[in-house]
Amino acid sequence: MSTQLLLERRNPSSIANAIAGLVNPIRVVSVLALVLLLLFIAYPIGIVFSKGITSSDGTLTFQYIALFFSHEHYYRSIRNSLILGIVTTAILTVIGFMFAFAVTRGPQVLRTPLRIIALLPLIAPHYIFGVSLIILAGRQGMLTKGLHLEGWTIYGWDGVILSQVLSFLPIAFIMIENVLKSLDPHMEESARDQGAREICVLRTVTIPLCTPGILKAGLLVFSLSLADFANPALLGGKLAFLAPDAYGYITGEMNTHMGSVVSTVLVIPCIAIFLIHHYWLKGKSYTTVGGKPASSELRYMGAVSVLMVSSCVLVGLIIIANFAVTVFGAFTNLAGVDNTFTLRHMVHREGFAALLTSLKMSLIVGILGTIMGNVLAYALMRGRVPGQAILEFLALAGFALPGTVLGIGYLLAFNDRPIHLTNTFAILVLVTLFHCLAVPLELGYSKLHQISTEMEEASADLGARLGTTFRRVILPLMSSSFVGGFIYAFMYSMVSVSALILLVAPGKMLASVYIFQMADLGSLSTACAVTVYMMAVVLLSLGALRGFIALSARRFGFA
Amino acid sequence: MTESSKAILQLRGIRKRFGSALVLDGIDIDVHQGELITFMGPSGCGKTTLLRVIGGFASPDEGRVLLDGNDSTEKPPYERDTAMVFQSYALFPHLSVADNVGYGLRIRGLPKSEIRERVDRLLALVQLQGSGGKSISQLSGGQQQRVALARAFSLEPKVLLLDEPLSNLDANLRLSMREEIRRLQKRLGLTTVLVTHDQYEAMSVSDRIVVMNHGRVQQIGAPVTIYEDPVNEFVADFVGGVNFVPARVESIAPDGKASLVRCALGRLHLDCRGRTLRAGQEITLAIRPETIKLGSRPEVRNYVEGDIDLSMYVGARIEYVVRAGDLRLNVHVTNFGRLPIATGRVTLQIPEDMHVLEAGTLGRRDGAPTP
Repeated sequence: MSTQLLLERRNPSSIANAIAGLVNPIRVVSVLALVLLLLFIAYPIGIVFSKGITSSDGTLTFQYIALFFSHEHYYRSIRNSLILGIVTTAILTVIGFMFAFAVTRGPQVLRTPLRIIALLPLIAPHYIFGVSLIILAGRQGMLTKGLHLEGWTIYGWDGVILSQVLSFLPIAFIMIENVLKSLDPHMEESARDQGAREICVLRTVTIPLCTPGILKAGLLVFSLSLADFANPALLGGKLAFLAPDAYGYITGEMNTHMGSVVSTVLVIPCIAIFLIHHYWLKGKSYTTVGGKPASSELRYMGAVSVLMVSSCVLVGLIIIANFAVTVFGAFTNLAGVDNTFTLRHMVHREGFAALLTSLKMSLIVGILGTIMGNVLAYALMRGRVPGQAILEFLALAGFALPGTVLGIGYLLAFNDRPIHLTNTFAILVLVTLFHCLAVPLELGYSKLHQISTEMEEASADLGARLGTTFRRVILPLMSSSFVGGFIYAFMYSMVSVSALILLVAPGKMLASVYIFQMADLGSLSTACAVTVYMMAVVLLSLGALRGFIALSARRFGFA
Repeated sequence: MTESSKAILQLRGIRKRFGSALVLDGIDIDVHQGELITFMGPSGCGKTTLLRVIGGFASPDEGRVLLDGNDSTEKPPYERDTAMVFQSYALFPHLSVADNVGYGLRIRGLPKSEIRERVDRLLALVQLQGSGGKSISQLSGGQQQRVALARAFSLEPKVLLLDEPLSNLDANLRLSMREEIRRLQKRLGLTTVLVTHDQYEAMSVSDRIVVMNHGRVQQIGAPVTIYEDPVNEFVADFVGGVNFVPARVESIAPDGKASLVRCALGRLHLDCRGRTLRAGQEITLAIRPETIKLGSRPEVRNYVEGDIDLSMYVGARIEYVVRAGDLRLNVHVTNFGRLPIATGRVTLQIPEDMHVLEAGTLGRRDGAPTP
């Protein structure tokens, strides 16, 4: 009705208007997105599922599943992965909370340094601690020899748990920090006003109010830990874990059926957690958005605060030590064994080539992911589109899928006609893009939530069409979500390994995969050198992006 | 008995900076036992910070907070006999109404039966009998406000602190909660410090008002004093609105009780009201809009003519903007019933007992230039 009125008011002879009314751009975008998501998320995962329950001649069979559960050799990885997930999650919710507490309520001088340290692991592949811990505490490790720990070994539970805790600290920290930041500081003040001392405020107010947020962070860490391939592969020693097992069956034994069964076992809890996260825990929160951020200066640091802050400092020192060892390892003959300075690891043709490919892929994924994520967010948010629920589920679920499983799916699905992508650059871009699409999408969502529909209606009221409104009103307002989405997609592409390691081909090696393989082969110095380059590239790119934003903000008047 | 001996709360030379901004600049206030005192001022005047200093949530850079004669400046909130009702109420969403009210009692380690008894009594006091089992989200804004009050009463504080307690309520509820807070405060004899930017709220409930601006106390006094005898232009303007007219004293009657002044409205008679004026002195006349009479006859003194520029019918009164000379005067006429709205050329009578302020600060507040 209103659309018709608008059309009539404009030039009635314009056929373009009539076509624009018929071919709703939101609808077109949605259908296109749905096709792509079905093809590049649902189809490969479906292939993985089906390989586990079909025999070589194509008939339905449960023999592989039965085989899997009849031998401890197969199913012990489930037990190990679950134990690892629970322990890592338990430790990280505590450490993540302590860091978030220190950064939001601790002493001013420590807030920024602790925040930077908590986020530092993001600039390197998440298994960087796998490499540095081996240098520090492996068989020839600096600490192993220095402290005479020859009987003890980092390979096993200690190493995997430690490296996972350090790897996933940023994500746990970011999520819990958000909760603590948005908690009305008057709540804690009110408790103090009522006579509650430090530990009592924490126990009766702060922690209960943060529980939904901490739970969400814990679930995410749990699924990351479960899906983690690189840390258990590097430091697991003789222990079996799901993701490395699935990888092993596919690449080592060429046993696609068993690899698919393990993958299915791995996917189910991850999807379950995703469902709990997005449909059950959604909206469960005590924190307020947009509350007046009163200063939450802690006037009296009690014993508990001091303990928490000093624990953070300790963890921070461990992180710094690991990064320092990585840099040290890159510039010495063999760190811990022969500590003479050398540049020979830093001059490395294969490493450079891999870095270049990584950079190229990351830029493409960054740009495509940002555009797709935000356009899709807009379509899902503002338009009523067919298959909206499936669309949203597929786009967000990509993030929940273990990279190893997605990699196996791509390997099996695009190996032959109709879509043959094996050994191409495109398959690397596609798997990374669809794996990380959920984050730009979510960022777009939350930004759009803040933009009132009234602004769009005002623009329409002033005569702008959908395209014009999107370009002139939505895009400028969403620029922060664009930047955030790009940074995430770019950094994720640079450091991601678990899906890509299955798909890289000769001549198309990626830096993250190369680092892992070098570490796995014991060429720790080379791994360190390429990691140092990668961190430099990530930091330089972020700096360049920041400069670009500052420049465009000055030119166009928005940031 | 001296002033300070019956003061239950004494603020002495309170100073506080946030970065380079001086938020509180030497505050001295005595709060008497059982009174309701209101800190009033525009946003950013330091009133909330001062309340937080009293409650122990912020420490002053200089100065002392004496509670019942004891220095409490460095005492944390949990060791102070003050209770705060926060602007957001800060009720704990994970606890029931009863558990919110009984929170402080439980921390004191009171036996369960006594907590239940006292919570029931407190809920009855704020007319929320039987709501103890409800969750906070089930309550309306007004009910949440009552729970916050009951929680603040629970520890029988020496001083109750209310931070903009009515700002989150809609207009009608605000009036009734205002009454209720005042009634409860009087009934309990509870010394109360209230912070607000709303002059009507301040005027209607307070025993005394502290008008603040730029971190300084401008005037302390009963509502009637603040309104009728503001000490400077800021107070006059902030409380109730006023017409400022610069003037010069022409002559003074021999008894010193009356004078003639010249201003943009012409020559006006001014009642000196005990103030010593001298001829030639520059002054500012502060004329309340409701003291100007509309439709006077030419034979009365202080007769002025003007044109209606704008009229606003607000029910209880009609508010006019009248152009007279090169001035615009606000004139409020009480509506006694079906009052016709004036238009065109009108006559005004300026009261002789208008308030006089020292000249030279017109257009400036607290000596700070405004653009």
